[in-house]
Amino acid sequence: MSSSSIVSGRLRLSFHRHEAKLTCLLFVLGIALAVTAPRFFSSANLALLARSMGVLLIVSVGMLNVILAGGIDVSAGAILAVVSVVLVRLGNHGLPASAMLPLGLLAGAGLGAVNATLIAELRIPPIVATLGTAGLFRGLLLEWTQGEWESSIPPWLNSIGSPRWGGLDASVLAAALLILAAAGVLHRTQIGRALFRFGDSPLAAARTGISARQPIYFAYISLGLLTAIGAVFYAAQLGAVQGNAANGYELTVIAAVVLGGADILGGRGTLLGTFLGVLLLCSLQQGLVLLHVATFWQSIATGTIVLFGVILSSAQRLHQTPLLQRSPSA
Amino acid sequence: MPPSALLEINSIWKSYGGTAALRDVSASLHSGEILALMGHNGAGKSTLVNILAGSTRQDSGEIMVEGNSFPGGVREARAAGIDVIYQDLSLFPKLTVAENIAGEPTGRFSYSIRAAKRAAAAGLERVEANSPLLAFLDRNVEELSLAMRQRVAIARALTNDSRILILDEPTAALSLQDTDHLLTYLRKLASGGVAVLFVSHRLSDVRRIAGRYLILRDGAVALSAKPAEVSGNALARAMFGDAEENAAAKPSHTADRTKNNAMQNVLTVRDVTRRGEFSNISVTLRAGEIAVLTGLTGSGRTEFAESLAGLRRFDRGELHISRKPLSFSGPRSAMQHGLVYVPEDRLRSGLFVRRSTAENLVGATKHLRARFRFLGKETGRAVTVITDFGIRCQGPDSTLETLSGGNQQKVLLARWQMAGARVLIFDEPTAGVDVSAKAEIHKWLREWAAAGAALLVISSETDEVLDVADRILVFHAGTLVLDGPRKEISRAQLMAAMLQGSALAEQAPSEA
Repeated sequence: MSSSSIVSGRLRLSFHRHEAKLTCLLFVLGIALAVTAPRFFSSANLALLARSMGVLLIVSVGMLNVILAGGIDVSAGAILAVVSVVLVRLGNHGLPASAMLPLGLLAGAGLGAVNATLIAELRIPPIVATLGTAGLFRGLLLEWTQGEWESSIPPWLNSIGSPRWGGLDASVLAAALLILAAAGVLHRTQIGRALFRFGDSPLAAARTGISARQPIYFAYISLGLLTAIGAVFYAAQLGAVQGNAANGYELTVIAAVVLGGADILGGRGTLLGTFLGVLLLCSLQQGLVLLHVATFWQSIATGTIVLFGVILSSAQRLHQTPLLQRSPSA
Repeated sequence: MPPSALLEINSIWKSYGGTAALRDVSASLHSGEILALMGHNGAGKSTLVNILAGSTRQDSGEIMVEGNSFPGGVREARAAGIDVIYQDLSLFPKLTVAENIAGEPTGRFSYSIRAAKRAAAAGLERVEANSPLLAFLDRNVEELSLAMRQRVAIARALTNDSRILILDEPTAALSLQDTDHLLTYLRKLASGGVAVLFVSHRLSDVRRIAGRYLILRDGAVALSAKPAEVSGNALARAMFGDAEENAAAKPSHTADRTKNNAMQNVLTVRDVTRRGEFSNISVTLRAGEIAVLTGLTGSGRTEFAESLAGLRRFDRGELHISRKPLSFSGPRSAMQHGLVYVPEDRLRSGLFVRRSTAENLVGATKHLRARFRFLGKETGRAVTVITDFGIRCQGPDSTLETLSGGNQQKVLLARWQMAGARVLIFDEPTAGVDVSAKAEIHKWLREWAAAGAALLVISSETDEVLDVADRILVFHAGTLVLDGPRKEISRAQLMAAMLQGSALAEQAPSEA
């Protein structure tokens, strides 16, 4: 029995190993920022950081679902743009919040369902399917708006985006609630576990009788829905939107999830890791802005840290603790 | 043995596009019984297993589980208490042992990792006191050894209340010690009332465990009997067929060839070993000779051939080509020394099926000849080859996926013959091709050998071995158990060597 408790003790230490490494990375970054840009830790700046994380967190949770199921979605940025513009444009025409919010969420879920259908029914590889729909969604949006800016947003949307609670806004609260909800779904429901199983080994999943479609629909629709929720805050925070909004946003989202230790091949990933990935990316960006670093350097730094994080997590797998070569004694 | 069977298979027929995979197969399996399902490659074992697993449906015939008709379907099979443990185990490597064992959560919102762990622990306690897996419930399956993973798969089946356990080649990749553990464990399970269908090639394992043999040949039941009732020869005959000895019908080409060539040694390996795959193999391949390497699946023959071709490395031993000691750094370097390996799985590792016939014939080996030169037009040359080799296709530009299996195989063989290799290794060159293409391929092999190439052909088909070979090599469990001229080897000797690693057919097998 003592040996088994040693095993489980070691396990608990190594269980969130990638998350532990990310935390160390965060500490290093924090110390560096404390020295070079002490203003980073002012309460006003921290509130700003939290606000900048809200939308990214919400969309990243959806992307985590997709990546867990062994998929990828590069149309998330386009979905975000479509929903933001729909909300603002129709809202400016006088439609009330009570109609607009459900409509926006429905639009997001619907676009996610388009992706899911292409992937689950027509068996199009996710990267190709979503690349296609990304162009399609965005093109239709630009056609509709003719490239014009919506430079004002309806008052109800404005109030959603306005800072309260000491500089925080509703996106922070929403992100926190959604992470809790996602934790419940991923860990406590059948469909949540099916995501892990399906992404880990579709063949084994089929042999245990898991549907080959359900996890795909769930993943992409949930991403669409979460992206739509993100879009509400995105538009509210910006105060103005146009058809080219959130161009390339999906890449930041994927970077954050992968930096958080999710396996791009599916089956492995955690909400905690995703949270840390988002926190790391946003802190870095915010810090570099405070230091007045040129934009291209920000991009270099972001790229480097994403690669570094991914190397950390794959190095762990390369040199995995020696296999338990114990054979069962009958 | 209880009077009524747990599993009853009544007259199952199944065919795939005109080829019968199962013909009128009937069998029964009782609670507490271990039934060994054996058969050569393509005998229909996998088809039968897939039907029992619910993933394939039979054309006709009925399967009864505990007296109820089993309708087919993966979920239905599980519900009926049938669980197949495939060779790949179908576990979820990135999930914990507990989650793998607890399996599919039932309620839609009732799942939790902690509950899964409790369920797994309780399940394990129920099916086996002090299961060794209890210590590893929190570990990911990918961290476990193969034998342990197998135990997880079995535990998952048992906690799922499966009473019929089908194991597909469970000992193929296990060490001797782990095999011992597994067999003991299975015996224990059987004494607890579980019915085990043990699908295996390994006669030595089967002997130790089976209460009854079920042997399929060409899709039909060739033998169903208790071990005590069957001699080793009868077993071999059931597996390989009882075509009478026809050594007399030896083709005359061998004699000619022997005269024409001085039987020059082209390739020699001495004491080569790869741990866990084969050990201390010494073989010489001679110009103008066809050596046929055979052995059951898992005997290490393909691994050996791949190592010769530089796809794997020898742990120990030497390799000489034309008396020069060499070590290949990879297949490219093997090819530069005139050694070519043509894999069995032509679609996945042999051909470029989405490219044209011309490109597959001529273009595919161009990099070996011209690294920095521009690649010229290949169509003209390809047309000649297509005619010469009698490849049936719609012109040199037709993509390879439009060709029949036999013609695809011809393209593959023609490609490498043209590349001018001195040593050609073919892994199952006639697998899955029709009879006429097969005859043609055999003819080529003889022509190439006559032209002075050294050929090593891997085949699991006894008739082909006897028909094509000048020399026969037999692998058993990673060792070379037989190496001799075709003339001196009888069918019975060949089968005995394949089955039990003994060159003596007369040697009476010990009764299990």
